[in-house]
Amino acid sequence: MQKRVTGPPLIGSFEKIRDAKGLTDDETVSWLMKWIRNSAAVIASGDEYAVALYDEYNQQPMDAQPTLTDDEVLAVIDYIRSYEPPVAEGPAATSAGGDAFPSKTILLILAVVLILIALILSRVTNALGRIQAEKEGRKVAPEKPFYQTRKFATLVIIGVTAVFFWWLSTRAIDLQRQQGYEPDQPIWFSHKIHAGINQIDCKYCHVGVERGKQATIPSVNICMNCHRSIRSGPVTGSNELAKVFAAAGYDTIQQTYSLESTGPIEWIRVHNLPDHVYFNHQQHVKVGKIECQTCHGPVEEMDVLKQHAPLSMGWCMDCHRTEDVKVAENRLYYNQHYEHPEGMTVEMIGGTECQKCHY
Amino acid sequence: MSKVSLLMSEFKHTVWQSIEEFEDSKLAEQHAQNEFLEELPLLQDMGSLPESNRRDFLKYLGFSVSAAALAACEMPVNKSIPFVDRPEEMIPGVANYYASTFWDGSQYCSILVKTRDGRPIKIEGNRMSGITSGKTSAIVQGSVLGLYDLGRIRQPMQGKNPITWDDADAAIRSSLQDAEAGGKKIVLLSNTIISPSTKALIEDFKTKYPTTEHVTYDAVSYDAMLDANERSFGTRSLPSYHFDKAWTIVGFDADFLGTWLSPVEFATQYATNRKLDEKDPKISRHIQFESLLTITGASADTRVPVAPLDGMRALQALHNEIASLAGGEQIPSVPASPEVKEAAKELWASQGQSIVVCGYANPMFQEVCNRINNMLGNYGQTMIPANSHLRQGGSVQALEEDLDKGNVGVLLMADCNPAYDRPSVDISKAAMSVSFATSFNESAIASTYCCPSHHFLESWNDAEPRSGEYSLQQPTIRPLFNTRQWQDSLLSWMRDEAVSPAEPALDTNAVAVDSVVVDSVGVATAPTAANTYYSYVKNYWAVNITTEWDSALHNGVFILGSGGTEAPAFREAGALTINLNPSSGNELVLYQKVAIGSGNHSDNPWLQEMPDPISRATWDNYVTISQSEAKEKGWKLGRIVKVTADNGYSVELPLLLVPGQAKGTYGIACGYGRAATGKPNLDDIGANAFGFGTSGSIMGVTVELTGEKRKLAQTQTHHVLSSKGRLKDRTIIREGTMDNLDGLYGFIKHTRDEFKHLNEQTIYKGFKHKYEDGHHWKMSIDLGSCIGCGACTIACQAENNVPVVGRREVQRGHEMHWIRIDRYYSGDNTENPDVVFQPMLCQHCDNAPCENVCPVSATNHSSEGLNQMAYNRCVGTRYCANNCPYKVRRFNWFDYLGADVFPSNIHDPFDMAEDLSRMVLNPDVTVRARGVMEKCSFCVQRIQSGKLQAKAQGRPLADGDIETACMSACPTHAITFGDSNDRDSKVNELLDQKRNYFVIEEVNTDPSIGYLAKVRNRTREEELEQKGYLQEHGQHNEHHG
Repeated sequence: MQKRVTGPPLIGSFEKIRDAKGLTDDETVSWLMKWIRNSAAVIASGDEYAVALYDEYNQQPMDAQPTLTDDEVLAVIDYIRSYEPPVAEGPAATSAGGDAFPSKTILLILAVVLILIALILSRVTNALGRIQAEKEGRKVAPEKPFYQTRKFATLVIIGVTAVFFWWLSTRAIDLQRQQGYEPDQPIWFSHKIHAGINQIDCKYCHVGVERGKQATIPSVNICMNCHRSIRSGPVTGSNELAKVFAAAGYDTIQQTYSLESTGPIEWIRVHNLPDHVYFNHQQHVKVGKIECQTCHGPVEEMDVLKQHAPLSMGWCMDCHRTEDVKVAENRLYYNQHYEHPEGMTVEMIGGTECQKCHY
Repeated sequence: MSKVSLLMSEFKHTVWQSIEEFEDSKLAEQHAQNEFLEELPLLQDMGSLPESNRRDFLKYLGFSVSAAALAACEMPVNKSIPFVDRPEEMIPGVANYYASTFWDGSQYCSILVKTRDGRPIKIEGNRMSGITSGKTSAIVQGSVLGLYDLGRIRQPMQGKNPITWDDADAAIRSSLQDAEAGGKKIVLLSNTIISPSTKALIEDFKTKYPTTEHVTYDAVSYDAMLDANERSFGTRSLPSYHFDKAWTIVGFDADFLGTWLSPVEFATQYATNRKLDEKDPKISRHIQFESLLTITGASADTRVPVAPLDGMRALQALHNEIASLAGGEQIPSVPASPEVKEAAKELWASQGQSIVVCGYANPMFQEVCNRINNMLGNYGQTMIPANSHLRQGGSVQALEEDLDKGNVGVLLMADCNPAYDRPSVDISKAAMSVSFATSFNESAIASTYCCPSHHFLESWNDAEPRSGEYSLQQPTIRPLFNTRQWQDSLLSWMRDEAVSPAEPALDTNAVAVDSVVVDSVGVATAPTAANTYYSYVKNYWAVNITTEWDSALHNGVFILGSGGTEAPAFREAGALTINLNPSSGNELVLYQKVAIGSGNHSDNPWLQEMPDPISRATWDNYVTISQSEAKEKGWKLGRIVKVTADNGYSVELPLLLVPGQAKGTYGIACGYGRAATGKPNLDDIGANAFGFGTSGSIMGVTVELTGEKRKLAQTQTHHVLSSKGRLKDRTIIREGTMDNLDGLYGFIKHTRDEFKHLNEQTIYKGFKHKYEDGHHWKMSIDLGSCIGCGACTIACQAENNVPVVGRREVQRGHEMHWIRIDRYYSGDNTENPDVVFQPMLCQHCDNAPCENVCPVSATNHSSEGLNQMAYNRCVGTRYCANNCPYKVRRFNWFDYLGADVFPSNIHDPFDMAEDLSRMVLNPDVTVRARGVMEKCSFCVQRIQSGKLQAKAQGRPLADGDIETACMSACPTHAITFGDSNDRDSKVNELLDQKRNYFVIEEVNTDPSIGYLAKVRNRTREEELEQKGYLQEHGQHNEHHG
């Protein structure tokens, strides 16, 4: 609200108008009613403030809003008057306090207490045994410190082995997974600039996403659709775009293409699936109507593309178990599963079966 | 004896798979019980492993754990390389199909080539073709592998030395000019050429070099037939056949469903009238007189085993029988046998709707055959004279003489391999010889220059298989190597100057394998200059055929219409003089195998490993002998015999005993014994039979034991469902006759009701999953239509990345085919048993025994009724295979295709794991690593993509949207796949037929594949006699009553 042209700087605008025109609050409100409903009429009536404002913004007319009711206009005015800029949220300090005591902690404390009791009890039985033995006059071996006992050694070995296998299994599960993978690409291409700031639809460049298995990395001719005109970028200037022109064989001065000097751009693939997994973009994007961001994360905020999801089978399954099939929107599903027109998850039609993805 | 038990006894035939089983069922039983043919481990193949103990085990364990941990640190960096300028029709990951033509000199097929990211990976039939109707054969399916053949010649060569095209062109051009100037002959030797453009080009070449002579021959000769047709019709060409219009078919040693003339076309036509419609039961009648047991004879209603000589006499007798009915002229003959009389009667009853074909390499008998067809009025009805262009070859005798006299200046060899199949042609006697071979062969090695031609999937061409019916061949990939289509070579040599570099570089541009990038489809970059063969073809079409090039290219086929030329009339060219030598002992019959043909596919590992439909043998040829004759002589399977002919040629091959082969005949398949395929492991498989002759039979051979033996790699006794003793009581094969259909229906219903009752006795009542929601995939296989040709096996291999294992592994029962065709003999008759083919694949049982025993749930059931196999979950216990009653599960004993991370697991005798060979793999199907189980998936990748296509278009799935690879390849429509929850689907209709039964339904597996019982068009009496029951009929009934 503070920036120009996102509407005039609105904060404090009510007061500004009131003071500039020397009106009361009510009069200001009625003036604003007229101004908002039809600004052109106010300007035409020769209102001094209105004409000045109109000139200030290069005479851009504001759309007339004749359909707004009084209440709606009042609500807007009210919102502007009572607006407070949001305070950057600090760490949510209070959130933990009211919560129930975490069950894990209880269990942990309980475990520690029990282990302590077990230890104490074992010492006690040990001591009692010794006393008994002494009473009976049997010979007693000198007491060893606990860390030299067999039991302790066994416990340590079991513990170390358990930790090792836990580590090994987690590493093994993570094999070939690369969540957070963020390789340097041959061209400093920013999704933030293209998809974020310039709001280019993902499907404009990734043309295969609705038609086939692969979303497809755009061919260089797609880049050239825009970059024939846009010769330099906001961050890297013309350095990076020169690589695109080189790949397309485009001569920026002559504005001609040459077939001889072309060469594909060797992008580094970020999202890799193992060979035994079959994934199809068409199924998910065109049929399932899943947003790209659901799996790829906030790409429009990434300068360098990063793998957002783990792409693990468990992660796939989580979604297949909860996501509803768009039954009513697709004749195939509708004909096959007319008994469950809504609320049918992917799992319910076999979406978690092995051979839906592994064949 | 109740009525039911009478019924039962009549339809419970003895079925058996091998002679051993027939004679000693105990041994076979033992064999069947042994799931894995050899004991574990397979140490002999792993070299000498050191003795290991517990300590070593721990050491290896520790090592492998740390190796795995280390390996985890290294993630490979994958690159994603997009097009610079993506062709509009290409979306990475989406397959494109291009219409093209298969012609290998003996088989024609109009095809669609499936390309993925610029690589052809699968051949489908082109449904727009009126000739092959969208169907294929094993050879056509396997041809895609030839593109990625490591034996391909990669650049022009002089002798063994690589040279450049410019040098080769200069040398050959000057030799051509010298030959021209010196009055020496330039001979272009080829197999039959069906391309009108190529023929026109050869004429142009002759204008440029007038001493040029074009000599055509066919590897397996059809000379006799062509000569006879020349006498009968005045033109040296063959008729086209229309088996779909024939209701009585009589064959004499012509394997028209397997190898004779145009098997895909004929099998498709033949099946039309062999489908039994239960509402209007009528099928054609097929009688086959033949010496060896072929798939055509196996499909016949009545099969008469006769040696070729006796067959020729039978043909004569048939002529006279028909002639006496038609009032025609008699020829010298022996009295007709009852079978011949019967055949004559039936043929006469369906005049104009019958076909008599014969495969004898004797023009006189071919003419007798023509006369029979003429008397029956078949010409113009079921046979159109002088209409087929598929065989045009003649003799090479004149060429031999020219070579001997030194008259040949330059010998050009296109699409042929004379050094192998015409050993009498001595290439070295030509002053210069040039081979255009695509892959290494005997002629390429022997010739002075080798100018390698493109593979047919890289070539432009056209074809005219029948008069006025054209098809086009287009490249589906840019040439992989520095090759040039031979027609382009001719064009280049017709120019006086060397090729200017300005010429578009498609043909001369070397593209190394490792630089083949995804944008390399040939169609997009078609050459445009006027002097390439592409433009020649296009120009030829514009002038002579049609200007609608684009639509013809899209459709692949184009019909010009009759063109106003009338078929020539039949004429009796003088009296027939028939000289039949009296039999002089053993007759050697040369035949072709369905998968190998005349030998240009014998370097194809897929086709080598495809079991022969009858003998079920792989990786070899052999001498087939009648089983009873062998028994008399005391000869056993695998004993090596030496076969010597009058011309002095001899081969040594193992014996293979075939029940049903005519006594006194020996069969040897052509196409084996290739010596120079460029791949050492594929050389010298079997022995070359072309030394004996080029077709037909050879009289008076001597056959003697050598005292050695060789184990054949037969798959017959692997994966048997049961052995003879028990087969009788198990539901495996159901067969009946046309005049007793109700009996067959009644029997099937009776047994199925009984099984249903038995299967309902369960303690888990109400457990049955109904699969009512969604899809439920099922299949129906018509045993009456299946001819056993094996197209499905190879189609499945191509579609599902099924590996090749090699001879040694096949001997151990380790073959990997997901669909096999079991061949059953039926009855107690070993002289001439009935044969039934049964395609056997995973039955996707809804109560699957394999699923219950998997300890890791790697195989389980899907909600669509599929028996799923998750390879990456399988730990290889093989319990499932052991528990599968259909024996359709296959275990990867090795890593055959390079999928494993451990290089030592690989077993790759035929280089199928090389980068070049791996280009044929289907990217939608996982390549399995060592140690996992695999089996038919009902082509789940096709199911998924078919569903997705419908979903993306927002429409319900239509019946026929999804075809499995086996179904789409099958030339006889024997396999039907579909969704049984779709009430109107074809598969439902077939599963509801009265002929439908499920294999071993009694064990309550609830399979998803129904089989339609085989029905033969013959009488009950004939059936019982054929099966050897008639003489013991009373006893038989008693036994079961």
